[in-house]
Amino acid sequence: MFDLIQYIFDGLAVGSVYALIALGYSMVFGVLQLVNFAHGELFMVGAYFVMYAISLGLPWHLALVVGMCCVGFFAVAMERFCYKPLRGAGKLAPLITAVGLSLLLQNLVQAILGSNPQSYPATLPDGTVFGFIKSLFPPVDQVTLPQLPEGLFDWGQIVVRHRDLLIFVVAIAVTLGLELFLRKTRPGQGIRALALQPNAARLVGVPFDRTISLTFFIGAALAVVAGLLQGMADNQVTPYMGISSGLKAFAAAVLGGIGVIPGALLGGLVLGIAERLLVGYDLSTYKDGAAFFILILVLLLRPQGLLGKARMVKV
Amino acid sequence: MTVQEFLQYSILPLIFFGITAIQALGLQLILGGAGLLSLGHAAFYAVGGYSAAAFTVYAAPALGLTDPTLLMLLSLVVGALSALAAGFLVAVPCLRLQGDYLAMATLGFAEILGTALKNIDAVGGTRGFGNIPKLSSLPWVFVTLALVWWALARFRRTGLGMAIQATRDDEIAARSLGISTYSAKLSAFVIGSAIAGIAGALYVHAVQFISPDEADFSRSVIIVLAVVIGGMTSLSGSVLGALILVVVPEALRHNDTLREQRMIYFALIVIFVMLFSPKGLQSLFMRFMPKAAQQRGGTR
Repeated sequence: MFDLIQYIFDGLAVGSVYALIALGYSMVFGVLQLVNFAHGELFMVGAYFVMYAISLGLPWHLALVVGMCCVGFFAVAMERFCYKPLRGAGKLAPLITAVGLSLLLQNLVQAILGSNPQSYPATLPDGTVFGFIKSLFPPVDQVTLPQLPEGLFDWGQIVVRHRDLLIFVVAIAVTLGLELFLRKTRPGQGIRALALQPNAARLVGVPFDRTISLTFFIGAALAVVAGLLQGMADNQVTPYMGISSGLKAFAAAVLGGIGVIPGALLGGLVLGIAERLLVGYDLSTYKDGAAFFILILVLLLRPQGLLGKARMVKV
Repeated sequence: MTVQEFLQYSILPLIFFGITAIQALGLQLILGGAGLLSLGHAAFYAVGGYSAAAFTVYAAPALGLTDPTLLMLLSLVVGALSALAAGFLVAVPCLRLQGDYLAMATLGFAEILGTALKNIDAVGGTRGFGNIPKLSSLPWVFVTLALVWWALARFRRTGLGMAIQATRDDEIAARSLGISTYSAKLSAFVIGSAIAGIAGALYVHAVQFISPDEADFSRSVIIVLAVVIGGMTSLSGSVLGALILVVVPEALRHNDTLREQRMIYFALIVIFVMLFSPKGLQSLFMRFMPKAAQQRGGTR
């Protein structure tokens, strides 16, 4: 029994990171009905960016803000140049483009910075395009990430690490903040209006393109927060961290109800706990399949997700 | 390098090209034909490969079959049928879902299948399934490729083939013409999966080994790349795409930097193709061909 409670506590931290990524998927899907397949890569790029900025000597909070802005604008540019021209071209084209973007970012980061998280930036043969890009980054000797608090809450049978608690609290705070933003501010209400009824929203004066850009920006900024947390928790960053976390976060978003903000949080936490339970009960080889098993089960039994409302699709 | 050495060296890449081309042709029917994005195509390939291998390793000795040609033919049938069954199991629930959800559900099934394969000890678990008899060879691969290609080209002109394309172009219009769009999509999906299974059966008996990595997401992405780069709407485009994806890394084997970066360029090409040239590189090549050739091969 204590085992179970312990695993649930352990799962909260992993789940919180999934939740933060899932928020971005959820928001973008809400306004564009597009699965931004490259969203997981924004999380990865964000993790690298913040780590790099910290290694250059920026204090971590400043590095985080700079990272959120830069990756946010990058996501806006991505939408502007790669998704916007394909609006109205059906669902297939943007989806394939997103897969292409995801692949591009993964391999680009690997080419510039190397696949080994320790040797950063990587030793790359010079004289190539990517050698040139690499030379733009000043070299960094030692990669340092801020340390998460080390302590423990020890309640006899159950032990909770301070860092897990911190990650959990950050996720809750961010979700609450986002929900508040979407409900109380004008741009936030614009996003909700667009998600609810795109044409009606435009009629009442919601700036369409700007609102979509804002959605991408916020989603990317949250992914950067998740990237920093994940990077600090694992103490490493790899070019491939985006693909698995990204896919699982998508599963979390669908589980909670895609387009529903608290749903993303709930989905992420449930998924994190489920994975931790599998590891705890000696089924760790099944861990990576769990997210998808849950995803398919939800898609088949309750496609609107745990907290979503079913919407009829009109022809 | 002498001619003989070159030929010897080219056999394996050519086999890989043929197998990738068969996979791509299968996905072309699903992606270009029916307009459904399957991000788990490699899973059906792995299902076909694993069951064909299990057939020749476990079932064939029990049945007393020894003739290699017969065995290979049977294993192709086993591969195709098992992948077809797997495709059916995935498609029946997933085809109720639309676009993006379908892509994710197929991806999810592929990941689950990979996880399951890692946990089945009879087929080697994470170590992979080895010691498979060598039954297929370059001629097998290319004859099968030609047959699949020919059959798919014929299939397009059948009623069902047309129904599949109509469903892709406008589902509502197709339905109001009395086409059962669900069964059109379902048949595209299962036939495409069966073709992937054939590719899997050829692969395991050529390389004599298969591991759960073959069901990996990255393998599925390679097939999607082949279909999209070549041109989603044509069969020759898929073969061209497979050729590009297999030959380019081989041609670059003396240039490690470029070889490692090849996925960057492939990804860029895919984005470029989607944004500016949705008919793929095949249509670009067509532009430079003589008029007569265009009229013969240019239509879909």
